[in-house]
Amino acid sequence: MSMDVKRIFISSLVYLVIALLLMSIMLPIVWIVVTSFKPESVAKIPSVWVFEPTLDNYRYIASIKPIWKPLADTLLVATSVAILSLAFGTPAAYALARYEFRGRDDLAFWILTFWMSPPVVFVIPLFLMFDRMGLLDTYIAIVLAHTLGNLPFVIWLMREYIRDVPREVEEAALIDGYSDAQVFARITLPLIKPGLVAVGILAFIFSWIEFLFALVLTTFNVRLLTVEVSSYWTIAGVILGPMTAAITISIIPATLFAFILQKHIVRGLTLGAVKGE
Amino acid sequence: MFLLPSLALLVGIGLAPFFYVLILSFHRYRLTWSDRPWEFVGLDNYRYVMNWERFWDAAWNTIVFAVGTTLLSFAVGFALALFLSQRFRGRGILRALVIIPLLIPPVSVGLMWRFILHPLLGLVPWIIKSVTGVTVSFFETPAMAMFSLILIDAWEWFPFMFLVLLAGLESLPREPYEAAYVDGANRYQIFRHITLPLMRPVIAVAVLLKFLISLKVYDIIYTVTTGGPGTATETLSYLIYRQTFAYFWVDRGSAMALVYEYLIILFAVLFVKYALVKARAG
Repeated sequence: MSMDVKRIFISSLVYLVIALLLMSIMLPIVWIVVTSFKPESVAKIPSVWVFEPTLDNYRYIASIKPIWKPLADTLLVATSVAILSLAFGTPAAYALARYEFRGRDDLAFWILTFWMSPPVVFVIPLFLMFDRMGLLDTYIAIVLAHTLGNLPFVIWLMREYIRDVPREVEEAALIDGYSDAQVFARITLPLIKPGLVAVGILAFIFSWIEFLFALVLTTFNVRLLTVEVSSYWTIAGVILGPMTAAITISIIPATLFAFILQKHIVRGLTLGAVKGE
Repeated sequence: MFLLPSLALLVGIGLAPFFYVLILSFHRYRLTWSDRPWEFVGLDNYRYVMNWERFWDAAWNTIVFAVGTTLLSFAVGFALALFLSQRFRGRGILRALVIIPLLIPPVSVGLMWRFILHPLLGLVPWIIKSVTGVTVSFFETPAMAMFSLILIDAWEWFPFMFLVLLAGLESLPREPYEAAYVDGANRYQIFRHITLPLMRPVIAVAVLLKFLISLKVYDIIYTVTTGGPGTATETLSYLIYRQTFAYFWVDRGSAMALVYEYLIILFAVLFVKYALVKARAG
């Protein structure tokens, strides 16, 4: 074989493998969405690919086992968590990025240990403490718990964004007579807006997809989507068609934000461990 | 001053609960004993946990799972990162599609795969059967169940590897590559002798982060196997959850949670101290 033929052969093989890989990656999602439109008679038969699409499963989650309450609660909680995480995390990130003080790096690492800790370590005492305070199954409890879960990465990420702001800009403002708080609010914050949006969206998503805190800290008064979805398949059995519809709903933010965030998200998920472009 | 609100929150609902568990772990207390005071028992709970085979089995399962999913998601993520760091049309769309699994609720991921791998209802066993005639059971034996969980978790998390490694690839310096082209190196040589060595620190970070994340696994165990068959896929998070909230042994659960926590932090500190420093230097 000549070099050229060999090279073409190898590279088309590589592309074939990549194409297969991409297909198998997307297949489960596609299959769930397809199944959610299947009529009940064929939902449990994997060999059926052609069928008359129906909205029966969506009608089921709209009226028989309504998804509205979990959906509204999850939106409310995730939005509050995103706002609170930024409100608490960004000033802390600013301090860790800009001020020199003893033990600063240790403090940053200490904050990160909260991210490394398994959530189960916190869910036990938070359950007992919220129980004592009568806060179980309230929005406050779950929002606080999720905010705690998000704070470490919000602080670490915002610190990276703030470090990218040239110091000279802030120093110029200080000379103009701005106070520290004014510099932060009027100079730094507007400059890191893209970072705030990206990290805010990540905080939203992490709250949207979180399960363990939701499972332990909420029941009826507050009902979150992940708990609702998990209730479709238990030891009592599976409600298959509606489950695929509920899963499809739970995937919507992922799909939307994946396209919006494709560029920004890189740092978001890596705690700024790697500097992108 | 800027730090105060965050620290108050971290201390209030992060550190205080931590000490709460610490104190609780030295007492005898069940979740159903709401009116009974805590009874001090010293190190009893720890002694119990240390001699409890099921705890060590769960620890072993957690490690097997974490190593498996870290390696698999690394392999897939790195391959895709190398592929999608090239310039071509439609790259942005592919990049976006590829990260979707990471943003889906793990609970949904678990149920999705439990359905797709189900022996009767599932698409994958059906495809395998029609193509090869072999009947595969993804959750029947302990080994297969663990393998399936690793597969599912790697599917969810390869985008994470992909993102970290892609960021690393895009920040590599251009000069060594240009020099290699001039010297007539082929693509494999360039990958082996330039890309890999330069990427070592990034790979170390990616692997560490994913390993730490995998040690915390809970959601997909809950939705896919519930620890079964038997206790073959029971991980630490799942065991502790069951002991605490299904059997109400919150004291023992606390002791286990703390041992678990210390092991993770110890590992992280050691890794950061030695492996990362070494990778950065070498």
